[in-house]
Amino acid sequence: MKRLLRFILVLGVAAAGAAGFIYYNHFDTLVQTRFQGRLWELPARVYARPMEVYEGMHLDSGRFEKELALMGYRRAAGEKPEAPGTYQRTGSLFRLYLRAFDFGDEKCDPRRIRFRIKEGVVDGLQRPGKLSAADSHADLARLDPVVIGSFYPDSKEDRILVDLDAFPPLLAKAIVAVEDRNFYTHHGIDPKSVLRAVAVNLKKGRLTQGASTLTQQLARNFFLTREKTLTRKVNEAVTALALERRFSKEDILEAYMNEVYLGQDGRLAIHGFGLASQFYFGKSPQSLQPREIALLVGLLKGPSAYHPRRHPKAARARRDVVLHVMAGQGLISDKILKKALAAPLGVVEKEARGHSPFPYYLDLVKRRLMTEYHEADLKTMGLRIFTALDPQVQLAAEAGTAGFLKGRNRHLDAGVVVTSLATNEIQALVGGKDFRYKGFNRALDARRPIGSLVKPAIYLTALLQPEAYTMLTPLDDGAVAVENPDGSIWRPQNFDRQFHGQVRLYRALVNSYNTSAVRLGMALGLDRIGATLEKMGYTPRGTLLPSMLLGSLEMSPMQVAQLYHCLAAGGFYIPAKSIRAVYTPRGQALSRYPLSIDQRLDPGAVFLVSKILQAVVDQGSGRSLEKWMPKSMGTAGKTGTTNDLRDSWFAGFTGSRLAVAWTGRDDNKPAGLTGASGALQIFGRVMSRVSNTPLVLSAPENIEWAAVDMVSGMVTDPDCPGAVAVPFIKGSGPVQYRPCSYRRTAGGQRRSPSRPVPEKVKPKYLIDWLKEIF
Amino acid sequence: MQLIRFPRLVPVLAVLFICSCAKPPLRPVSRTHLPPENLPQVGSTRPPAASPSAPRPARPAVVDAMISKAEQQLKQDRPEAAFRTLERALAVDGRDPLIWHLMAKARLNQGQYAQAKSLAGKSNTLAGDDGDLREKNRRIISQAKEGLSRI
Repeated sequence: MKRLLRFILVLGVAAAGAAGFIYYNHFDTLVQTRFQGRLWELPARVYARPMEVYEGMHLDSGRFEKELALMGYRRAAGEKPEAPGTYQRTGSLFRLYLRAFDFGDEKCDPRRIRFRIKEGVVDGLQRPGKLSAADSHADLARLDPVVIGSFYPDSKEDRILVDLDAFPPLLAKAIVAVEDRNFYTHHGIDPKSVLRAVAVNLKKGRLTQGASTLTQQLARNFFLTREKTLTRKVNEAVTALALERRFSKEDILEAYMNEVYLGQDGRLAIHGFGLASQFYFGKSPQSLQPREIALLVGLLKGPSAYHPRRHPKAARARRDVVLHVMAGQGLISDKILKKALAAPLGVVEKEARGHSPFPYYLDLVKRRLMTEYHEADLKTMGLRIFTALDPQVQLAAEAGTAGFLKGRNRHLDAGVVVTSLATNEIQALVGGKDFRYKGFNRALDARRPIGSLVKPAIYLTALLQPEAYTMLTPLDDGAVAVENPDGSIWRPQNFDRQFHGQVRLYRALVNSYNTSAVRLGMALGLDRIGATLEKMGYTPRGTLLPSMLLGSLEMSPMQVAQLYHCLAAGGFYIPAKSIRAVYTPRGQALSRYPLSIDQRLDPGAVFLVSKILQAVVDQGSGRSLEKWMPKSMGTAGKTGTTNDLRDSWFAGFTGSRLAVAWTGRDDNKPAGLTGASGALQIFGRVMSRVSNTPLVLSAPENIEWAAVDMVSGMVTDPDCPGAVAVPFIKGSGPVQYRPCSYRRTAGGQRRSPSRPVPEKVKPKYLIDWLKEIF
Repeated sequence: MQLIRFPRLVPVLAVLFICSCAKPPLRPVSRTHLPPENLPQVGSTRPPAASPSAPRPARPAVVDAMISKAEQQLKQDRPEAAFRTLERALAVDGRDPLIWHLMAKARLNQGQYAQAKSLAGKSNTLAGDDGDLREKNRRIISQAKEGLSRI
């Protein structure tokens, strides 16, 4: 019997051992798998372009401060900014303490810069504190960018991953001092603490003290559920043992500091000290002061109960307790303790997290990313996405749009796209009048007839045939009737309901005459115009109808921007770009989107069209732009209006930016606005709020100029009154010469017609003499 | 007698009359790559405020520094780094033909011939009367074409 009992006992022990081993092994495997795989679901962060400040840069003080606020920079009260993420402004002088930032292609430590903004221009950019005067001059200061949005995991956990050595050592020491003093000596479970907690709890007759080590807390947060049962406690202890066996104390501490829950922001849970320092203090953990460290460490006890914004008194009391512990452990001096106890909480105003400041642009970025990445990866891989959004331009675009829509029909809405002329980077995007709430993105999705915006493509198609067309070619602007493919007859009218007889090609476009454009378009052929549109970046769908010549083509503002960019870039197609690069959290570049360029159209012909588009603004349908833009800017542009004033368009460019504006109603009812009285006004408001360089069109090699008498269209002498400089594709200009009977003096005065004209050509042959007579 | 001669003169006079209605005299006229100075240009009632023939304003120091950096990177056979430096320079001045030229050079070094050709072409459209730069661009275009023909 005894032997049987012993056997059963041995068997039981063996079975229990085996079960224990299997049980432990389960958690050991779990620990290894989780730690070796991706530890957390990290949201992707989307950044605006980093502002690059340089000497001579145009910068508006007000909008610069707005961008600083979006970057989470705080204006310091004292003379100097005291910590990274703060700045100080004295009149026109700005002093900034820039935060550390990894730009992907460059890592920057916290650094100070200062400069003035004099009459909208950056002056005297310096890096104070350098050794020599020469060294203190900075060519360029790169500021950490605005976060324009994040793609959060379904768990709604948000965190910023930080390496242990990037946390201030004091933070780790304070955590250990407050939460688990024996962290470096125990093996996951601290028996002394357990005994002490049991004694205290027995004495008080209820659970008042826990004995969880940091490792156990990590195990609880990371692997297990939040239920309070004995089984979970055991699981937690076993997992902690496995963690300690497999990983170093540093690994465990780093994981703990990135994992731990530190508060709630709406639907988003704040995890880890990296994000918490950003969320509560608007700075990276490296810049935390001892009192701020104490507050964050204090939060571990109860992120909700000690939430510094909701319960500042409780938070302060808890912070002070932690400060005393830190001083008691010798982590801070008495002097620092005294100073810290007297200091306020210093918590920044709550950021509008979870809501992008620029949701329409974020929508564009997301659509682009979704063509290359899975949504699940975007939400969990912690990608860092650098975009081309320029908050200065975006704010200007929003202000310009709002300024126009204010006080108008509430059904009126708008879409705006602004791009950089050189690179076609999308700098701003307005998808509707509610800038902060993403709805129907009109800039991308509102496909509306473009009206006369199509005409430059018609005239470009003509000018691409210099043997047949020049700027001066006469066109017939009389009544025209065109047969549609279905046999119906289309009789287009001019906007002024008049016909203008013979008009020169450039004049027909400047005045946006319809019948001459239709006649020219039909003569060229719809297919040819379709081919030009395709080269410019828009592929028409379906059969082209004659009505296309007056803009029945439906496009979004973004598509129009691409089309006009090809003109603005001199016939070079550069795909519009919203994303510059995508990096992993560890700094590896996953994708880069460098500038790519394709010469698709003859730069000479494009130059001629651009000259005409300058004339549209100077004296055509875009004249009213002078209210917003000085004539010296040389802005080129085109208005577009559709039937019954339903859609109002303007597309234009300066030497540095291109913008397209649309305004109308979503229900397609008449808006009562022409291109000039609607979209042009938005364009003007937007472009006048940002820096622009004048558009000085540089003539390509195949362009030659001649002085032309505009009445006859013949070449004349440059000092003839009425002589106008006209560009032609080489060899296509007029060869006929018309002398003039009187000339302009150097000061522009006409000379007396009675005075002899020395340059007059003497008839050499009888035939010339006869010509003079007749 | 005179009445008899007149009909014979008619064809001669007619020919002379038709000739006189023909085109005005052809004469070699001055055609220049740059527009005649102080003359209003087509579509404008006044001479342009800024003439394309006017010298380019001095290059901003920051662009100068970036160009030097890119040239250095090209020398060190780091064309991709040079290209990225030049992209940043474009954000400051997108109309500087030297930036586009160096970008073309970077792409040529990487064997991206189509890009090199287009970039050099772009530089040419902005080069104005900088014959030296145009010549350098021409060389890149010709090398790029050669490279493309090999592919």
